[in-house]
Amino acid sequence: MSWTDWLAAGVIGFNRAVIYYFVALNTIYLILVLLSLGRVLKFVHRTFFSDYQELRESALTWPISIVVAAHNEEKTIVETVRSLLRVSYREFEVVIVNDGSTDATLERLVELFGLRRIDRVYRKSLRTLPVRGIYDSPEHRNLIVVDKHRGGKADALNAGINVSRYPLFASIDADSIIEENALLRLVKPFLERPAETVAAGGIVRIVNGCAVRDGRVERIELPNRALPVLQAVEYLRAFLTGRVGWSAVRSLLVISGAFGVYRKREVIEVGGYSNDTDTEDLELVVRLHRHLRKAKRRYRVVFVPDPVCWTEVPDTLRVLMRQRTRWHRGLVQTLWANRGMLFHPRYGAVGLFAFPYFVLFEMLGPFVEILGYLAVVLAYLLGILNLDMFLLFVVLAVLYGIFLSVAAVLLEELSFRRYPHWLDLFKLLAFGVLENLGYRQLLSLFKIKGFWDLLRRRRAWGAMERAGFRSATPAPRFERTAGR
Amino acid sequence: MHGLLVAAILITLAVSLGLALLTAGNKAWRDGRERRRQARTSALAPLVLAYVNEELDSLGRPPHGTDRAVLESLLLDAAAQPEGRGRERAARSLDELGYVDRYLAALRSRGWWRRAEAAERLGQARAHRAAGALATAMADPVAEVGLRAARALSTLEGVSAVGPLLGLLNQPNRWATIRVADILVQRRREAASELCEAFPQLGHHGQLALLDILGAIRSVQAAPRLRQLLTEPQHPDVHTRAADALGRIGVPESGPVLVGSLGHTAWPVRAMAAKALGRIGYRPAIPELCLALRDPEWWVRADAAAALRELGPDGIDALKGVLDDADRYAAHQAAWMLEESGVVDEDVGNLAGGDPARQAAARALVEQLIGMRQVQRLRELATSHPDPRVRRALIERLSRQRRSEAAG
Repeated sequence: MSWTDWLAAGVIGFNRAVIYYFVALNTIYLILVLLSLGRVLKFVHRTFFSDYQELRESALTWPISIVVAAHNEEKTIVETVRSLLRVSYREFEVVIVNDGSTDATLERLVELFGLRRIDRVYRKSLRTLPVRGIYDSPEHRNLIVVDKHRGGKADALNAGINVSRYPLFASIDADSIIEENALLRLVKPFLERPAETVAAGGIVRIVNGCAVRDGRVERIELPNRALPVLQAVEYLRAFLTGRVGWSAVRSLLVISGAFGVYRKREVIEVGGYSNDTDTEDLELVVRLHRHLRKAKRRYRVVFVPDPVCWTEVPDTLRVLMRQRTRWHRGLVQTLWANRGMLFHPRYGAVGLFAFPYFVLFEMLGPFVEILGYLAVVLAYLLGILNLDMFLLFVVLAVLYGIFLSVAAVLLEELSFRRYPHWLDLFKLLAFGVLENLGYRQLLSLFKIKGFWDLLRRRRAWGAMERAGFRSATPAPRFERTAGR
Repeated sequence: MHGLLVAAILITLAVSLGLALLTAGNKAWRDGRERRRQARTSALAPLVLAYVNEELDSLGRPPHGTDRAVLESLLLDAAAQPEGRGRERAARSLDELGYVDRYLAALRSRGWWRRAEAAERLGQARAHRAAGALATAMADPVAEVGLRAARALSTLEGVSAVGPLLGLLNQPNRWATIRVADILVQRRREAASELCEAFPQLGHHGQLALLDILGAIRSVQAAPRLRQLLTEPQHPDVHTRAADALGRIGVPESGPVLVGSLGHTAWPVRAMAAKALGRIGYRPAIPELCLALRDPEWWVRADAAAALRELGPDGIDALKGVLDDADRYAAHQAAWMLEESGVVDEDVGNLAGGDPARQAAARALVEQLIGMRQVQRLRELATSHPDPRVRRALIERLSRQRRSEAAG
């Protein structure tokens, strides 16, 4: 055989493998969608929302610390803190960690909340870079601000955990707004099974396009720009069909860093967040699984589809690329660091199903996709491309992606219905189609870039440009609070 | 293969289109239902109000369709009023219009959530004739149903014993504890003696939950039994929860036994005892709390310092006295408490002049804080205090400290 024959055989073999890969991946997606459909509908129809009032009023509800790491968040930090101070919860504290900001993040907080510096004593359960100062507020007794040297998000969260007082902590992004009852809803699993529940995650929705006033989302709308709407559809699919499904089979590997609640004891046991990866949230949850399974302890990590955290997503391709390359770097770093879990029966469903899925489909998926396109070009050049079959396959792949996106939109409409306007529903459906005609392929390229960066040992968050929340009314004059 | 692909494409396309149409159709149906509901609510609310206020004799025949759900919601809201004739009329109407019979039927449903909802509705509807069915439902294999039935019964004042409720506490479920506590708080009859008697019969989780409940309902009657528990050989968790409950109940007679618990071998008990002493405001505990500031366990020190802060001027004086302690952890906790409570700010204000004794005390406090290197607050005050004399005095003292550090 000549080298072209070998090459042709290789291309044919690869294309066959891609077909099997496609079938396996989409079968898993279908299973997750069906699992999620059942779980979400059950949740909506069987949850007694009057329970949350009881939780809020009871002195027996566990208190919680809300930990927020902030770096150069001057545009959104005040709204975020205001919304956090207003959460509906009986006993809680808000710990803001200013991680070496070079803008006016700390100054804005000091000015608007009347902060004063104190010599607070705290237990250093986790090692962090030095803390420069700790501030409290005479007006808001449950607000603490920790000012520290820049150490990265993981280091900042660990500092926040050290300073926090309560047995549970919620990790929330500085550019996020959580709904009033969100914390109650996310804490409920801990109260239902207190001995087992170690972590719980909520759903993240995009705030771009929504009107925000006084730290509350007043009006929910999709943005006019295409890129954030594409991400809205993507988030719906990822959370409502992906995470619900994995949670249903006790294999949830990721809780969004934007909104998650953890039991502090176990997080300290595993050494807190790690700066070794670019996605500290994913890495922590995987490490929790590893540690607890190894110790043969009964535990659960759950996803609750109801509590909502609103967050700003990138609205330019440049910032989106930075975000997604970082996410993929973090995924690869985490999977590599915990590779001992792969197919290991000690780790149960996590090691036998979830971990291999993330390796084969999430980590390697972009490569398979891009190599698949290259294989098609090669096949054409070698004269072995069956154009009809190729086109049919592409059509099927795109249609299946559309099916998954539309299923997520349907699930949203059957359950939570956060987008009340017809225009928004049509946008979701339309962009659920458009998402598969370039956007997902673009994300694959970003992920490959992330992997390439990793090989070149490039790690950075990059500047996450923020537009700030859209105000529902003209911005009020800020007034100094008492005490300063 | 070609045929298979075409079939897959057609199926996927059909399903996707179907889902999209289902999505739009569902939204249209729900929007329409909501508009109808709002319109019928606007129409029926005045009628219900008139009926509840005795301006109307009856609400007519049992409704159908949208009106049934709307009327149910309006009448349940009216029945939820604290008291009065209106509440009774609403409850009677719910019975006459057939809602109570529906709920009773749903109590036998196969779906647990339907049974739970039915139990809850019977309580909201104040259906006294459902007391027997609710008592039976308390023994439902699904705890959620039992709890809602118990709450409904407590609303109807049909509960004469807490036994069935206590059985629910043996599960390691804090949510159940919270709801049982809520039910017991709402009971008019004091249940403390029954709860205390039931304590030995419960499992470990049940006992801990029961102690939490006694603290939550602030049962003064239970305080003697809780004090006794603290002196008996029990699991440390029991001692911890008993101390917590005594702190919440807040009777000063619990002080001595809590002071004794400051010497417990388990640190959670010591920490909780310290916290409880602060809550009940037991001043005689001040010397022991000062000793507890030197406890090897961080949480005991923190809770002891917080307790001293809550014990008024004597506690504040005690914290000041610890600033010179050889144990720097104790001294730091004391300094932090003094700062957080505003005592440092207040005393530093005396640096400006006035009473010589207070000025001397302020200087002494500043010296102690500088000696401990707890200067963050002092530095802040040196730039932000409204009195320029205070700022000058602090700047001068802090500069002297920096010079001596640089020289040393």
